[in-house]
Amino acid sequence: MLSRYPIKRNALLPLLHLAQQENGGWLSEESIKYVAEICEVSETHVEGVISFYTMYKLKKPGKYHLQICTCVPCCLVGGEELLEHTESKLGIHAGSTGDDGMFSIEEMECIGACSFAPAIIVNEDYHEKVNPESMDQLITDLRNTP
Amino acid sequence: MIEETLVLFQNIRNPSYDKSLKGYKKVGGFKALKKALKMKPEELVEVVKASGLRGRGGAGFPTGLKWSFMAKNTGKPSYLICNADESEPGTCKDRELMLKDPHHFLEGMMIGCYAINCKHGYIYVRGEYFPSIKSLNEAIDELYAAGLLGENALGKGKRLDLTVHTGAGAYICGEESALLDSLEGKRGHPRVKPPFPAVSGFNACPTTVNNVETLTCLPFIVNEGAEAFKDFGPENNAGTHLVSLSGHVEKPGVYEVRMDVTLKQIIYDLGGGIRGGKALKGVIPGGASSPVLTAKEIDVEYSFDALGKAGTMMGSAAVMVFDEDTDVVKLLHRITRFFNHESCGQCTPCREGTHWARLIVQDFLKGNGNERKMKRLHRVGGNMMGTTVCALGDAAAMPITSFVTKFPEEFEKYYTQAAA
Amino acid sequence: MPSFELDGKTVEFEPGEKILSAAMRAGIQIPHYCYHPGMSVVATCRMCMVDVIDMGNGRPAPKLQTSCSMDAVEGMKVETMNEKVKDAKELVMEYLLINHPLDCPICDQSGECVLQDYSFEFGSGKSEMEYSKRVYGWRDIGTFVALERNRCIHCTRCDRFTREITGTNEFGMFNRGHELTVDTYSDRPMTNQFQGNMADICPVGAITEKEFRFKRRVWKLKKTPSICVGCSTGCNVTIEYDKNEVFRLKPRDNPDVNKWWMCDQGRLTYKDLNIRENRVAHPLGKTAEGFQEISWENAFSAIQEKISELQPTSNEVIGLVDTHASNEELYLFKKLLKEGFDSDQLFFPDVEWEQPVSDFFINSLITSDKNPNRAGARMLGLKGAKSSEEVTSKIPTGTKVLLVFGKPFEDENLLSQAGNISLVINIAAWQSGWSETADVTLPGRLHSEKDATYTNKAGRVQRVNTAIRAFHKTRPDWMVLCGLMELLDVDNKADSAEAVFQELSENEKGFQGLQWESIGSDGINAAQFDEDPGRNEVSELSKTA
Repeated sequence: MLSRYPIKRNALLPLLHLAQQENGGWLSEESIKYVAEICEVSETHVEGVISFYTMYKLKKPGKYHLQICTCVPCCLVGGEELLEHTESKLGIHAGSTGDDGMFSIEEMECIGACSFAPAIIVNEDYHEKVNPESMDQLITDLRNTP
Repeated sequence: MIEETLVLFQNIRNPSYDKSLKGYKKVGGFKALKKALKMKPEELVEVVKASGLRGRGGAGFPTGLKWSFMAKNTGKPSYLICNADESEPGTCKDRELMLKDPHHFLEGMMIGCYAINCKHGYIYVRGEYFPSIKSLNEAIDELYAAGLLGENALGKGKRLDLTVHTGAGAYICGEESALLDSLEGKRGHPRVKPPFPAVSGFNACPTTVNNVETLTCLPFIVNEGAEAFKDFGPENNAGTHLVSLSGHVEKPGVYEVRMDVTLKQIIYDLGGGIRGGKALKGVIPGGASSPVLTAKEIDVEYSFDALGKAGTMMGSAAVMVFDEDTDVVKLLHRITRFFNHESCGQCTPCREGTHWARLIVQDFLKGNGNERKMKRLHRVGGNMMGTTVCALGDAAAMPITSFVTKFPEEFEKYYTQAAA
Repeated sequence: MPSFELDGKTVEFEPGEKILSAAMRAGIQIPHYCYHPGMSVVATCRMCMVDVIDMGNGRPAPKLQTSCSMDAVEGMKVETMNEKVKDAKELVMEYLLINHPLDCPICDQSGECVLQDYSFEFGSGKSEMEYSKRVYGWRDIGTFVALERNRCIHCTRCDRFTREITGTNEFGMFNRGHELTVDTYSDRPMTNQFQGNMADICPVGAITEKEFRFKRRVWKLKKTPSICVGCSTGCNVTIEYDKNEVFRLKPRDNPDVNKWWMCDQGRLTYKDLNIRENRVAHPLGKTAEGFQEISWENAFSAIQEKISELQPTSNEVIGLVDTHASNEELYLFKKLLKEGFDSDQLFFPDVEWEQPVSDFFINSLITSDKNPNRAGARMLGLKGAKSSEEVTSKIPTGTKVLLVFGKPFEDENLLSQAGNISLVINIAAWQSGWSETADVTLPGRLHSEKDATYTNKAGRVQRVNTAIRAFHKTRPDWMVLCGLMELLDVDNKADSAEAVFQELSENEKGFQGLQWESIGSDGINAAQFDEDPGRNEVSELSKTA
C-alpha cells in the first residue's frame, strides 16, 4: 500500500483501517506505534489523526457493530426512534458495547443512504429501509449466525 | 408529468445491465476514452469548457475552467483527485454510480486524468462506503487485468494508475482542501487559500478535485459533443443532474433530471407527492447547508442559477421534504447538531458558533424560548457567514438564519410562558 | 520598495510579505492570536481580519480577509478600523469568550494577556452565553510548563512549535470541533529543552511556566534588557524583577542571535541572580584568625604595601581570568598587568566547546561553553590555557603576585600551589576556592548588577544593563580594576563602563569603530572576528517522539 503514494505518510488513513481490521475492530497502542513507524510519523501525529476521525476505535467493539444513522433525512422518517428502540432492546446506549460482547451501538451522522432511509450499517454491510420490526428480526438473525 | 432524463443512469435503470467491464463495453463503454486519447489534452479541456459542465459536488464551479487553472510547467506531477466523500446530509447519488456503474465513472475519471496530465489519480471515498469501495476496487482490478490501467493505459508509454483511498468519518473532508490534507495523512483541516490546489494541492503539487458525478458526465460529453450536453437544460446550467430525493415523499430515491424541471415537479411527479396524503410544510433543496424553502416557494426551476436567485442553492442536489406534522425546531436542532459534530474546530467562529447555536436551539426545545433568544440565534448563526476559513461556517449559518426567518411561528411554539 | 496603504498610511513591504507582517514592521498593531513570525501561517483565529477595499486592481475583496495570510500588493488599500472590521473583531472576541473561563484573578497571564487587552479594546462588554462552558482538567505536560486546557483559545501555536521549531512532535491537537484540545501524547510529558518558549507564545494563560506560577503579578515587574550568561550564545533576554528580586527571564526578539527563543536552562539562571549566601559581599582580608571584612581603603593600602615590599618583576606576576568577565573587565585586567607590572602572562580557560548544528535552529542555541565571553577573551588577545595542569606549568616557582579574576582553573593542585605565592588577589562576585586562597578578595558584581558588554560565540558584542542593586559594599568590577591601576600609577581616565569601552574600541583591532550607543539593545557585530579553533560543530539530529 505504501508504494501507491508518493510519501509514506499519505498512506496513514488506509493503513490505520487495515491495522484496525486486523486487530479485531480497534487500535491498540502497539498498532499505533507500528503504523507510526512504517509511515515515518510521530505517535503524537497518529494519535491526533485517530482522535479527529470517527471511524477509528480505541476500544474493542461488539461482534456486530450497529451503526445507526439519525441524521436529517433518516431523522425525518424515524431514525431517532429506531435508535431508541435498538438501545432499549439491547439494553445498551449508543457508544457502548453489550456485556456479552455481541453488539455495540454507534449513532452516526449521514451515512449516505438518505433516499433509502432509515439506514444502518452492521460492521460493513448496509441495511436500508429499516424499521423497529425489521431491526428486531435482524438482531435475532445475527444472534443465530454461527 | 415529467420523467427522468437518463444519461448517467442509462445503464443503471436497465435491470439486466451487467456492471462488469465486459458488460460496460457491451453498451459502448470506453469508446469515449479512445476518442479523448486522440485529442490533445488542451483540446479536451476546451471541449469540457464549451460544454458548460459545472461541478456536481455542491459548489457548481465550471469544470473546464477549474481544469484550466492547473499550474503548468512546474516540474511537479499533476494530480486529479475524485471527491467521493459524499457526506452532505441527504446526498446518496455518488454511491449509486460507484455501486452500480463503476466503469462509467472510472472512464470519466480516466478522461479527466488525461486532460490534466495526471499520471496517478486518487479516488477519496468516505470510509463508511464499504460496498462502494469494494465495487470500485473490483472494477479497478478488472481494468488493470485488461490493460486499461497501468502501463500504456493512455497510449504507448503513458502509464495511468488509479488508487482508491478511504476516508475515516469526517464530513469536513468533503471540503477540497481538507480532503487534500486527509489524503496526505493528516487531520482533515481545511487550508488557507491562497495558495489554491491548482497551484499547490496534494503534497504541494498542482491538483484538481472533482466530484464523482462531474467526472461521470465526461464520457457523454466526449462521445456526443459539448453542444449535445448543453442542450439538456437552461442557459448556463448544462447537462442532467442526479437528485437525491428523501424525506416524507411516497417514492424517495435518486432521480436524473434536466435542470429545467421545477422542484415541485421533482417532488410530486417523480417523488409521488407527500406520503400519507399530507400537506407539504417545507423543503431543504440542496443538502443540509442550503437555506430552506417553504411550501409556497417550491415552484422554482431546479437549476444552479434559479435556485441561487431564489435565495437558496443547488448544493449537492439533495432534496429533503418534510410534511405538515414535522417539528421544525427539532429538525433545525438535528441540523445544528450535525454541524457541531462535524466542525473541524480550527477557526473560532465555526468552532464556538456551531456549538453555541446548537445549545440555543436545544434551549428552545426545553421550552425556554423567547424573542431575545430568537434574535441571538439569528445573530450567532449569521455571524459565521464569511468569517471562517472554509465554507462549513457558511453552510452551518445558512440553515439557521433561513429557518428562523421563514418559520418564526414554529419557534414561537417553544417560547416559555414566563416573562422573557 | 513596493508599498500599500493602510488606514491612510503608506506601508512598505518586501515582495511576498503578508499585510500583517508588513504592518507590524511599520509599528502598526493589528490584533491577532495565531500568527507568529517564526511559524507557519494558519489564519484560524480570525482576529486579524481587515477590510481590503482595493486589492491593488481597483476592486475590493469580496469579504473581510485575514491579514496574516493575504499577500501585500502594490497599490492595495486596507482599512483596519472601519465598522465592518470592528464588528468582526467583536464577534471573534465574543466567540472566544463563551468558553474561556473567567480566571483572570488567578491567572498568571493577567496583565500580559492579549485576550484581556483585545477584550477591553474590541469586546462587547457583556456576555450573552447562558450555558455551561466546556471543562477539561489541568495537565502536567512537561518538566517546565503546565497546561490549563480550559483557557486554551486554540490558536495552535504550541502545536506548531513542537512540530516546526523543535521538531520533537511532543504536542498535538486532538479531537474535533468544540472538543478540540491541545495536549501531549498519551500522558507523556515533554522533555525538550525549550518548553518555556511555549509559555511565551501562548497568548493566554493556558500554558504557564511552573517556575513562575503564582509568584508575582506581571504589572509589578520592572523590566531591563540584558543577555543570558548561561552559555556562549548570549540569548537576548529581559530581566524581570520586583523589589530587587528577579522573578524570571524572558527572551527578547533578536533575529541575529536567538530569534524569539531561549532554552529552559537559561531561564533557570534567574535563580543565580538572587543568591546571596555564596556571594562576596565586601572586601576580605586573610589574617591568622581567618577572613576578615575590611574596608576598601584598607584593602588597597594592604595591597600597595605588599607590592612595594615584593617589587615583582614582569615574569613574577601572573593573571588568571575566567570567561565570565566582560569585555571591559578583560581589557582593564590586561592593561593592569601590562602597564602596572609589564606582564603579559594572562591566561583564560581555552577548552574546546560544542556548537550543535541542526535542521531546527532552536537546537543551535545551547552550547557546551557555559560562559558568556570566551570570544571576548580571544579577541583581546589573551592567552588560552587548555587545562589547569597547563596553567600550573606556566606559573614559575618564583611567582610573587597572582591576580585572579572570577574563578578560573579551580583545581586543588593549583590552589594549593597558589598558597606558596606571596600575594594572591581575587576579584570575584562568587566565593570559591580562590576567595579562600586569596590574601585579599575584592567583591565584584553579577552581570545583572552592572553595565557591561560581552562578545558571544559569533562575535556579536552585546550589552547588559544594571537591573538589581548590588551589595552596597561592592563596586562595579571596572572600578575595582581602575582602583588597582591607580595604586600602580597606571594612567587611566576611564570613569564609567562606557568610557572603558570607548578606550577598548580605540585600542583593540577587533572592536575598532564600535560605539557603546550603537550596540543598543540588539548588539552589533565585532569589527574583526577570527574563527574559533576550539569550536566543534556537532550535528543534533531532530528527535521524533
